Parts: sequence; C-alpha cells; structure tokens
Amino acid sequence: MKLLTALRYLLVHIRHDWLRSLLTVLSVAAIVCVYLMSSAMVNDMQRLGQSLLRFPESLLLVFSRNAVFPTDSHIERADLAFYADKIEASFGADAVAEEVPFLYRVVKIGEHSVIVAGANYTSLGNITRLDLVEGDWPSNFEQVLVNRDFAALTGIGVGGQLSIYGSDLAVVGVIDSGLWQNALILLDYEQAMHIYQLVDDFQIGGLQLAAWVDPIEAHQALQGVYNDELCCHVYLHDHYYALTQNAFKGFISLYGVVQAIGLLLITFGAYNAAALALAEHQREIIISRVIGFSGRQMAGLLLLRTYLVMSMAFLLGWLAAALITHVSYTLNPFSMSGVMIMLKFTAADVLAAFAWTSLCTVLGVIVSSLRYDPLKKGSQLRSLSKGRAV
Amino acid sequence: MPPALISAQHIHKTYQGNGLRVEALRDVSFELPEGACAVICGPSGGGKSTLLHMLGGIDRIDTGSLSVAGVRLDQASDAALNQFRREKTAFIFQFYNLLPSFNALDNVCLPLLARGVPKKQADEKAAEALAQVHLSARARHKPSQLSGGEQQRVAIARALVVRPSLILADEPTGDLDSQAAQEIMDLIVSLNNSQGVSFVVATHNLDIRKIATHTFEMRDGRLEQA
Repeated sequence: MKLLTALRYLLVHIRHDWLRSLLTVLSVAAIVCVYLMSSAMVNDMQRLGQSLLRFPESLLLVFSRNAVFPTDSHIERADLAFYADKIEASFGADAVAEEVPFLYRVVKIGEHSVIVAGANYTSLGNITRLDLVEGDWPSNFEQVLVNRDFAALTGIGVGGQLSIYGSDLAVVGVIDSGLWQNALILLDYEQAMHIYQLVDDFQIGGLQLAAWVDPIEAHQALQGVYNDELCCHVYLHDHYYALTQNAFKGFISLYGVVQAIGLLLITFGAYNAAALALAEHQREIIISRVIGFSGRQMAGLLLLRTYLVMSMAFLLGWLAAALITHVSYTLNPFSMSGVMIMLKFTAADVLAAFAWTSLCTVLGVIVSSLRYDPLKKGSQLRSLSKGRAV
Repeated sequence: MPPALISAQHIHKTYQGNGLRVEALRDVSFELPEGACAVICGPSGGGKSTLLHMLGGIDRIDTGSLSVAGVRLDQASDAALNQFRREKTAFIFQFYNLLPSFNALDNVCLPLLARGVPKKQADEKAAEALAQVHLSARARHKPSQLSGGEQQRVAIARALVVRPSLILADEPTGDLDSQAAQEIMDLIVSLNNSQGVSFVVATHNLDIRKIATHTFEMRDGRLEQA
C-alpha cells in the first residue's frame, strides 16, 4: 500500500472517528503548548540571570543588605564613604581610586520596560568600556544616551525623543557598554539627580580600587566591619553574579520541572494515542488482518495513524503556544528588573519537543503492538462471527 | 474427476482456557473438488465456524492433515499461512464486518491494497466486483447507509475481488430477511456457476441446502456427509 493511499485512508478514518481523534489531539496539543511556554520562561529566566549587571573585577559593589536587584537597593554617599574609609584604613590612602554612585530605575517607554541608569560618564569610562557608536555625547541636561539594545527594542535612536519623570529628553548618541546587557537609557549622574529631584540618593555604589589593591583582599578586609546601621553589603563582581544567578535558579528549576513534566506527559500522550487506536479499533484491525493485511502492514498503518494524530496535536500545540506568547507579549508586555520577558521559545525548543514526540510515538506504537497480535488469538477472530458493531 | 480443493484427514482442534476444555473438531475428514459449493449445516456451537477458520488458515489444527488449494496448512510456516490467506481464500461473515469509516468501493478496494495493487487499478477491480453483485449505484455509500442485504453483497464483492480459490461464508444469511437471504443465495449460486468460485457455507438455515453441490451436517465437532 503506497504512502499517499495509506494517508488518504487514514485521514478518512480519523475524520470518521473525529470526536475521539479531536479529544486526543486537544489533550496532546495542550501538553505541547505548556511545554513550549515553560521553555520560553526558562529562556527568559536564563537571560535575566545573565543580564542584571556585569562589573569589572576591580570594582566592589555596595548594595542595600539583602537586595538582589539594583532597583531594590537604596544607599547614600555616607554608606559609600564608610566602606571607602575602611579600605583605605587597611591598605593606605588612595587605595580607592574612585567612588561611583549609580542611580538605577526601570521605566516604561512605549510598551517596553527599560533601565534608566544615572552615572558619571567619565567615571564609567574609567571602570568599564563605554564607546559612543553613533551620534554625540550629550551637552546639556535635555540630552541623553541610549544603548544598542534600547534602540533595537524600541526603535528609538539618535534624533528620537523620550519623556522620563516629566522631563522631555532628546537622544543624541548610542553607546556600547560592557556593563549592561539590557535596554538602557544612560543619564549623567548630575542630570539624573536633577530629573528625579534627588540629592546623592541612589541605588548602588561602586568602589573602584587602585590597580595595586587586590580586590579579594579588600573584600576580605571588609568582612568584619559590616555596619548594621548602614545596612549594606559589599560584593565582589563574581559574588554578585552568583547571587543573581542563584536568584533565578529557583525559577529556572521550577520551569525546568514544568518542562520535564510536559515531556513526560507527551510520552504518555503518545502511548495513549497508540494504545487507544489499538483498543478502540480492535475489531477493525482483526477484519483488516482477515482480508489480507499483514501484521507488519497493520503496525505500519497504526504508526502512521498515531503519527498523524500526534503531528496534528504538535502543530496545534505549537500554534497555540506561539499565539499565546505573541498576544501576551504584544498586549500585556512585562519585564523583570528592567529586562523584558520576551516569552520566546527557540527553534531548538520546538525541534526537541517534536523529536521527543516522534520518538515517543514510535515507542508507544511498538509497545502497544507488542501487547497482542489479533491473528494469534482465536477468541478475537471468533468474535467476528458474533456481534454486529464494527 | 476434478482435483481436490480441500482434503481434510482426521483433524482435531481443542480450545482450552479458563479451566474449560472444548473439543471443537473431532476426527473430521472430508474432501471437496474445485468448483464445489458445500454447505455445512448444524446447530450453533457445533464447530462450523471453527472448521471455516481452519480451512481459511486463520487458526491451526492440533492433529491430522489439512490441504487446501494445494497448500498443506498443518505443515505451513506462519509466512506461508499468511501468503495462503492472502492468495487462496476470502471470508464472508454473518454481520458483514465492513469497515464503517469507508464507503463500499473503498471497502472492496482494501484487500487489493493490502496485496500491493496500485490504487487506480484497485478502484477499477473493486468497481467490477461491485457490478458483479449489482451494487455499482451504491459504491459511494458507507455501510451505515446500506441495508443488511446490500452490506452482505459488498462483503461478497470484497471477497470476490482478490479472485480466491475458495470463499468461506459463515452464516451469510443469518442476519437478513428472507428476501435478502434469497438474493444472497442466488448470488452465491450465480458466482459458483458462472465463475467457478468454490464456496464453503456454514449455516443453520436449511434453505441454503438447495444451492449446495455437497451438504454436510456438523454436530458436537463431528462432520458427516448429509
């Protein structure tokens, strides 16, 4: 029997048995949809964990105690000065090359949540890479810089207009910095204080160590001097990175478990589709064998039928997941700590799910078929002489 | 004298299960020539269907020797039995056993497709077979849209289409009214006479004896020529 002929017959059979087929398709599609959506969340969580901040090794970070996300931290000049003094007390004058305050906010531009960072441009240039890739440096408080991610995400680049905290600002330059991995509007520190009407009131502080100071020793020197009144923590860059990774580990694990459950349910779904096709069409299978189909032909037809149903289910689940994530991202965009939740599953996620579905379908059919062979059971054959229903 | 189509010598078949042991066939011996139309009568549970299953190669005898259309079924391998089923025999059942998803033409096509015949060719042969049973006009109807007699005629066309040496019919009129039953009997006689198709019909409808070239009585697993 040629493949196309077999497909035509199977599609007629599936259409005739539409209600049971539809239930199978819907149940597996729902599982595939959940799997792909949880994959999208895992992708977002991994991106989040990697993108909060990337500091150079020579910079110690001062955060509010127990704050993980920069937006949750709140410190003042005195806090920064306290730790700078302690380091210099241990290592000598000029051990801290620079104290760099960072204002850190998340704002909504159009449908997108983005980071607004305020820092002294010169200081930033001293501690990390800060390249102007397009336009000019700002010359007054009405002009700002954005990074490439921002321009790509919002479509606003040089010549664009922004409104932040009631101030209208013109984008005059696009920068590339190693510090931020997410969409960013970069203000000069004084400009940020002006716009937000603050006075030395910021989120995190950086202590840029002199080249001759070992950051690890400096950090160790501060271990015994945490000031309860100041309620701050000081991090080495890799400690902070580990902290943020850890903060998202729970999410990643949780969605990873959902993913794994999704795969497990796909396994059961494939087996059930095969087992149901066998159980609910026993009489038809026996008739088919009596009129000349071999066991191998029937196994092939069963595999093809199950594969058709599973493919329909997979396609429907994929479309549903793509539609839900797209609608969710378009109508109700949201972000975590300034990083957009993109809700995007990758081609690799789809391929992995399809490969798994295919494998489970083949195994499901093999396992189901092994359970019996109609022509070896006389009682089943004798059943053709009894009962009307087929 | 035409060559023997069926030669059965001292065949026995016993089923066991759930603590029960049923001797379905006891020392059955008979011969039938090619072109015969044999009718096996007898009460339900007498072993008629079991004998048909043995003759059709869908179950094996326990002891004795059984040759059908030149194939020793008691000695055949599974593969040979498969080939025998495909090439030599076809079944007709009391309850038609058509596949409900497909129309009459597709049902008749299926045995040919199972044998690797291309779809277009299979369609042509199936249409011919349906014409032989006077059902061309109902070719696109599904079983649920056909009467019992029409469904049985589709089942006969499905059996005919592979041009078997032997058609085994198990109570072919058992679910039909008298008029439809007469039509089926006429059809069997016509096919037997005009095309030389051999039939073995198991029934407890005594009227079918009228069409038989050979008549047997089966009771408690024993076969006797009537």
